Amino acid sequence: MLQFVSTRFLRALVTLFIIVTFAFIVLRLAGDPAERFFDPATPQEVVDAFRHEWGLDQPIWVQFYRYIIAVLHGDLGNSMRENRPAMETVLARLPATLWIMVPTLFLKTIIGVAAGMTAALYRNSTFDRLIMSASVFGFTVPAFVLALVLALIFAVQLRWLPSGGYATPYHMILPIATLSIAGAATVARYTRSSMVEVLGRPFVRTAAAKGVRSKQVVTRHVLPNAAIPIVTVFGFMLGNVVGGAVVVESVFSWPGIGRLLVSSVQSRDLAVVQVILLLIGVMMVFSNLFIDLLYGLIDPRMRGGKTQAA
Amino acid sequence: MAIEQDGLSTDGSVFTEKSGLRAFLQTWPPMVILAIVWLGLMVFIAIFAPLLTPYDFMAVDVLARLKPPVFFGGTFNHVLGTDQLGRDVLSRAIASIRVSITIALCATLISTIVGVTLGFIAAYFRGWVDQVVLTIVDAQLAMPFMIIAIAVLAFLGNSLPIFVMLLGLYGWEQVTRIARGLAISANTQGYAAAAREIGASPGRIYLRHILPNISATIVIAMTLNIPGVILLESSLSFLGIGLQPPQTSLGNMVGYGRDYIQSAPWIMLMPSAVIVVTTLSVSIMGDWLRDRIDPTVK
Repeated sequence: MLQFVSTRFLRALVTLFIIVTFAFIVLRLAGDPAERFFDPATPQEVVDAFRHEWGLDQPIWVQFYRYIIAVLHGDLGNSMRENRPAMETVLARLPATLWIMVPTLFLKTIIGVAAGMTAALYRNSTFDRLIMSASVFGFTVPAFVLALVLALIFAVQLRWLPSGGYATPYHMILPIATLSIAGAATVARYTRSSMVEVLGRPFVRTAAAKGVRSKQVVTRHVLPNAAIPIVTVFGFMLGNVVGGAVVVESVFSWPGIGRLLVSSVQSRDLAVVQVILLLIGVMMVFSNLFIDLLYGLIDPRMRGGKTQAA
Repeated sequence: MAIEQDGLSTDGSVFTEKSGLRAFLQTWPPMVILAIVWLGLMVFIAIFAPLLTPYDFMAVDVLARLKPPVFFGGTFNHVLGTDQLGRDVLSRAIASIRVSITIALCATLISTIVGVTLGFIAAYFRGWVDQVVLTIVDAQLAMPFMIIAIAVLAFLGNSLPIFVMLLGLYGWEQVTRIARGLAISANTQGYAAAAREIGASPGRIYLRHILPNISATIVIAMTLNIPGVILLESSLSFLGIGLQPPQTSLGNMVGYGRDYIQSAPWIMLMPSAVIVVTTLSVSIMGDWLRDRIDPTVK
């Protein structure tokens, strides 16, 4: 078990390192900061002094080392637009994003797993077909189309809900609905196929044959075995919610991190973009680590410390 | 996916009599035919776009602003209406389809080449090279590609080549995993060993012997990658950080149309519908190809 946990931690650290390296590379590829900062008429001495001050005259390895140290200290530069540490700017927007992300994750897991289970248990029924067709739409309809269609129906035509903003709890409904519908469809699909596979295994038949009640067969025998693929999708879905949040926040003028990211790209506020990139990276790595550890908890066979081969 | 067993007959024979029509519909389900027809239409439009547009897609006509489509009070002059600058929506949609389809195909081609190359390198060298490739694949899987794409566009600025190259990285990790796995198992098979025995170079073994043998699976992986690329491109363009005007793409049209969602919803509904139907068609066709040719890929 100890080996299992430590290999997972090591993998998470390596992934974090790759993400930080990636951020450093794109930052350097973006060009010499001194050239971006000064106009061409600036005297060479001033530019050189700036370079020296920021360590830009050092070899690239030294710069990389310094960059990592700076990241570890949370020292990621200032937001040009707000003239304060970029980290503060981003953290100020974090609660708004969590307000739509957390309910979304709950909703789509509950709806998705429930729909997928029902579809698997009543395979080839009308309900099953309905769920499966809906789930195809769930991942071929882009988030921005779904968002706009929902806004068109519920905000423009019916006038039941506000089309954008942050004032009341009603404003949360459309963003959460958009993200949950798409997510639940995918979760339902995976839950169904994972359940169908387990339902066909011999131990399920054995359990049913020796007289275990069907409810118990499902909760005791099928669900624990179907849980692994479902948990895997959950990790993958988290990434989708983050990507989808960028679009949905922009459509519904929700003042979260996603909208901040888009507006920072448009105004080239690179420090903020970098903080968001690293923040999401850290979040994804830790949630994947959590899921990996969850595997070990759900399925003792996974504790061997081996990673799944591709 | 479960294997369909409806074809098995009760008397134990594997041969069953089928009417011609039923047999045809079983191999070619109506949805698949519709999907293929739609995709054929899209490719046709992409190739012949300049000949099909009734107006120049950039031609502004201030007198004909926000005209509705033909059955909603509009005229046949602008079948799908006009946008906020009086540009013909049909012409813009046709031009957009051309751009979006071309970008999606180019990007998928790039990601396949990158993925197959890395997969083969990992499979040939094994050892630490393999580990490095697998670690990068893991890191890629951990990060939402959308965020990476936005960050790169922020740092490197936006131009068409950078945009296409960036989209070309979408999905490489899936192809790498598939190509690596297939190449490793192909290496243990007779034909690769035979080619090696008679002294073929590794490059020859991989490109002339293994690649043709695994190409069906790779093509399916490519097909299943396309909807993702279309969604990514249209999402970025929708947000205004993808393709830049005066260039137009389907996502771009939706992005500009959303400001007129109240007064002129047709501007955004038309390109949205095209995106949805196209991604739907590609994934229906991809699933069908997979089930027909190679049920082992998932």
